[in-house]
Amino acid sequence: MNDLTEIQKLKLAVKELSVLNDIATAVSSTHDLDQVIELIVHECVNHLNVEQGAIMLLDQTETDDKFHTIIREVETETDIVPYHFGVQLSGWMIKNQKPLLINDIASDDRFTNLSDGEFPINSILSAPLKTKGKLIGVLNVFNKMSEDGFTPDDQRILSIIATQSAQVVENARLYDEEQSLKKIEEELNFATEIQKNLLPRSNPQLYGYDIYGKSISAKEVGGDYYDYITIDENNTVICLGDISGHGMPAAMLMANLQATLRGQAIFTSSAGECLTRANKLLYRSTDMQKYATFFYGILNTEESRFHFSNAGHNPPFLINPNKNVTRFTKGGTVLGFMEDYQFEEDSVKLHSGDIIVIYSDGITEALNEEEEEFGEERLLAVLKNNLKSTAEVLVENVFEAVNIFVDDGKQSDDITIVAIKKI
Amino acid sequence: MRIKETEKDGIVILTLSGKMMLDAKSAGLHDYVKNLIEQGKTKVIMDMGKITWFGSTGLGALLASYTSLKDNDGDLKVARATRKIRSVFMFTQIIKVLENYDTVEEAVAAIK
Repeated sequence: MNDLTEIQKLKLAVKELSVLNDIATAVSSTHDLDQVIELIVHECVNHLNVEQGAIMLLDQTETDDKFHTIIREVETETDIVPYHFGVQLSGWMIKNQKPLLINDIASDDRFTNLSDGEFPINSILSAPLKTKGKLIGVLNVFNKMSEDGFTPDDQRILSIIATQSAQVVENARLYDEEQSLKKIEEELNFATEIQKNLLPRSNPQLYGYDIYGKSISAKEVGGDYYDYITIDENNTVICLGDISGHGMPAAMLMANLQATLRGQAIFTSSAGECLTRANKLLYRSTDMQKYATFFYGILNTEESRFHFSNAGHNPPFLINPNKNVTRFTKGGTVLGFMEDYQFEEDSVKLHSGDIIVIYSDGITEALNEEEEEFGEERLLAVLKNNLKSTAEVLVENVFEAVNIFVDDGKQSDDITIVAIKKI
Repeated sequence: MRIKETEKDGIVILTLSGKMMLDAKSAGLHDYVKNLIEQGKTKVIMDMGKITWFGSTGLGALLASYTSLKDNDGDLKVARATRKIRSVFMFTQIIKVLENYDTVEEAVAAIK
């Protein structure tokens, strides 16, 4: 009798090892989460002589909130686990985190509201999938095809399979997640391309003026935008804005803003009127949290005049050769905040040696390691030291000064400057 | 950024602290206010004395909160805005609609 038990034990051990070996061999061939799950389920169905099997994975993005559990199944036939039963089963497993063996499910009071007759499950054996002590899912087999139903030995084997395959499933899940992230990254790169195409490729070549602009994005897709729009041979729009937020929404709003402005610029020669119209259109097409600070200037080369309207943007500087500074503040509030808003405008006469510098807050708010801001004073000091430089050298020197200041601090916002120098 | 809520005579005072920049919590300020509106609380004071950094997301959340409250016959006032925040309010001309008060008590008196 004892000998027989020993033989049975040995047979069982060999069977367990062979199941594990089969699973290990099968899953080593793929990283794909669905395939890994399918292979494990397939092996369980074969070795435990059951009708069907399924793995349910817990959604790990909302670990604090168990009620947001999402069940992912791969099974030999569709809809093996009816929805309500699946919810009850995963709920039980989250609470108890141990194997479950039921041979007559209809009379088990742990699971209720299972419609008689149509319910496809008679017996169930489940084991938790755990990695590092954390429940990541449940391995289930249903309907044992023998009169005795599931045995404690079946439970032991399924538990061993669950223990051995949990890490494999987790690895595949992480791989799956990584692939999704890669896809998001690809989309972001695409948005970056869109945005780059919205920015000017070259600087306007206007007689008597030296103009240079540059923008560097902090993240894949930033919120800074600048543009040159030729209205006629004497008038060129030079504008710069900072759109709230980053990423795809900022890129979309930027595209929207560009289309709006380019449409308006031709119809009106007034900076204030153009912003008033653009604001209204933007207000109607964006959600409440989105807005843009925007500076809109029109350089009239014939009259040597610069007309402008400032929609809540950091006031640009006008510096003359004597280092006197004027700020361009006239205009109104940010774009996209109030629907009916009349933007004001102003203009200045430009003289030889005058420099206008339009910039985004990424410069003045650049932080060094001590979390100190670069600030307007440092910016102004660099500008005053470069009054005799070309627009390009001046702009590049500002970028260099910010880089030196930030040092190892990370660039957290976009940085954009446009300089207009009257020769 | 952290949000602490207190209530006084039916006026909600949100004490904001930390960095009001590009993160989910700052953007979530608008959701927080929308939730207050759903509860019928439409008079809100934001105490910004403990804000250490104020970026464009913070301003976006503030503007959206203001618009939502106004749309629901409510109001938003700001108290103890730091020098940096006041300068942003100035050049964005937000100051014309979003008034700042030196103390929470003054803001409460003004919103009543």
